[in-house]
Amino acid sequence: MFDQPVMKYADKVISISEIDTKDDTCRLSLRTDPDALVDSIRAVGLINPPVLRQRQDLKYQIVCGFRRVMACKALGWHEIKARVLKGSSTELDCLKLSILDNRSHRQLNVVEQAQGIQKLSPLLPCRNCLQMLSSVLGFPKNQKVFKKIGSLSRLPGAIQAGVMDEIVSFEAVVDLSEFSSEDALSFFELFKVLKLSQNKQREVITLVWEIAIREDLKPAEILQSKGIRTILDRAELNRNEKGSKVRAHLKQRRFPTLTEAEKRFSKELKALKLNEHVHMTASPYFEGGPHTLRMTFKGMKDFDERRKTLDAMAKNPALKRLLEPFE
Amino acid sequence: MISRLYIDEAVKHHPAVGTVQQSLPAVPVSVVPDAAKVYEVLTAMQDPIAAGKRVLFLTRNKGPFLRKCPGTKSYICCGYQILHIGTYCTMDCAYCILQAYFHPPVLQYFVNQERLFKELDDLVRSGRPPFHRIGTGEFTDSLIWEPWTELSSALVPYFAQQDRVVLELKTKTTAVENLRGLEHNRKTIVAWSLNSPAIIRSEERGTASMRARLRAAAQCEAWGYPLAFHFDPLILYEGWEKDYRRLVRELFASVSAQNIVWISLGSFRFMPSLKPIIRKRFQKSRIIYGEFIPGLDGKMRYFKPLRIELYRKMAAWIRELAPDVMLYFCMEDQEVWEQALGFVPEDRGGLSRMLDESAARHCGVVV
Ligand code: SF4
Repeated sequence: MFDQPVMKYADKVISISEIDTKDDTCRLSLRTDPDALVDSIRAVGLINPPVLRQRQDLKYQIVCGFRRVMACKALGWHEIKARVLKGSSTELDCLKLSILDNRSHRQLNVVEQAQGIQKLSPLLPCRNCLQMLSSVLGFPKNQKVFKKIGSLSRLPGAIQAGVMDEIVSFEAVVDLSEFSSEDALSFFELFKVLKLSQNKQREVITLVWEIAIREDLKPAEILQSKGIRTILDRAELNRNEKGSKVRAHLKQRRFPTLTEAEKRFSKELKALKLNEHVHMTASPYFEGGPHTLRMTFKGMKDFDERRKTLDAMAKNPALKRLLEPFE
Repeated sequence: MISRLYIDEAVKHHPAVGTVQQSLPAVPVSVVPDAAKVYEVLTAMQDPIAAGKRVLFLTRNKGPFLRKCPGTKSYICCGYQILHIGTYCTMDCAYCILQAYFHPPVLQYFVNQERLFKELDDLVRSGRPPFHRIGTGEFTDSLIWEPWTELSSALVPYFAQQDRVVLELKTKTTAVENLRGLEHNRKTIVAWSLNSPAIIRSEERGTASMRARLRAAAQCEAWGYPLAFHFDPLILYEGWEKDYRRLVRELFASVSAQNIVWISLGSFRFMPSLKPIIRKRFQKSRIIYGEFIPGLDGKMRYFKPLRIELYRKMAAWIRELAPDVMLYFCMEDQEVWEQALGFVPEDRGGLSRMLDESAARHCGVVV
């Protein structure tokens, strides 16, 4: 099973209309866009013919060279030189050939690896077999990474393509693979608009997931809720501002009591009337750790000024409320 | 329940091994050179955490049997000492930290108890032990071992013949039958962790029901044992107030408040590494989705005002029915004590002292 049998081919000229370009059994790349290849084939012809397999209905299935076939089609060719597999080759053999062919001239990207894993899995008797094949096919040997890449294939093609377009990060997509297609697509639509960093995408996914559980809703319902839509519709905000507001909105919904306490703290802090030279920060999460007071000054005169600010701060009743927020 | 018995080569001739084997006659036995072999088998399983609950590994404790409870400086600790009899548990609670403590966790029982009793001898003979409370329920449930070992029949009479230290057996089982008729001299406290029936149903697989625990407690009271209860972990969920209030009422309808040495309250807290385990192993569990923040000890805890509210209410319900019972918080700070109970332990000599004094009153230990 792990050795690729020696395949025999016959070089033939095949009518393009006999090729089923929609049969993606052996296709790894989600892209068949032939643009870049069209010019080169126009200039120098088809140097490396695609590999085809004849199906029982006599139509041809593409094993290697999807983009080459599409480029020739785009150039208006009616016929194409191809290498047609002789004898009977199994779907597993053809898939392995397709992967090896792609690998022979470049590294497979994660989406192609995911497609490979997804297509090979049902053809192999056990999960271990697939991992044993990994080294031959160039998939990651690390089990965790292998699993993560495999999980991508559960997602709609648009999201997988989004990884290549850097709309959604790889790690975020792995998180999304646990959601239904509908929910995952809702996240994807949001990420298209907001362009968040990997960490922020993952933060949004976690927040929405946990809100959904807390409120017994679907993630898509939260992502399409009025609160989020209103932020996204605000024309005066740029992407970054929208991103921050969406995250703050979700955080407030996920941690209502904490957000309320933070708001109260900001209000009391204002009441302290500190200036730009004296800053106070609450203890993390108000859990009882130390608060931070930061003061900047240049010389003795400045220092005296700050001392007056601190004296006034000590007399202000807002300070007690800040320091004992749960009285 | 136990599907395989592993015996450490080093203890295969120990008499306690024979006792366990006799109580598990149908269970296949493997003698292994060390724990690594058991870990290897468990790690290869689909759910090693669940698998570790079905194999019993008899071995020896190479470290001390008496250990300090792993409290942290950031919160007020009760100064408990652990008697390290074994690890892990046959029951399966979603929130159980033991799932993440050992890699992989395995039901492990230490048979070299000669050394355990030697350490206890040294302690009680010293005349002025540095602590007065010892418990076996920190890395395991105290009473799960009853069907296969004679542990409590050895420990309870041992503690009965001295007056410096009390033993606390903490459990979620009803395995109290072996305690009947033992000479205890009120130096063993039998304690239960309590939770509402809703939480027991959803988060505590294989544990005894709330009523069964209370019946077992009443039985122990009838045998003269002092009791303790731990409302831990208290969990905030829809309906918690009604459920916990009823639980408090049921407790005091079942046992006498005067016979309770202490009651602890602890809200749900967890190491961040436990979260993915709960998500994976308890997919219906909702307990990790509360308003948790990272505490000063790195554990996730309910945001402080939520804890204060929870404790205030629990304390009020308990005080209503048992105004004099010794009530304390497990790992909370001064602010929480002050806000929820109206005082801080420091004002009363410290938490450790308060608990020792309660043990003195109820169990007659000299502190
Ligand atoms: S009873 Fe205690 S030791 Fe056993 S699983 Fe539950 S929490 Fe863990």
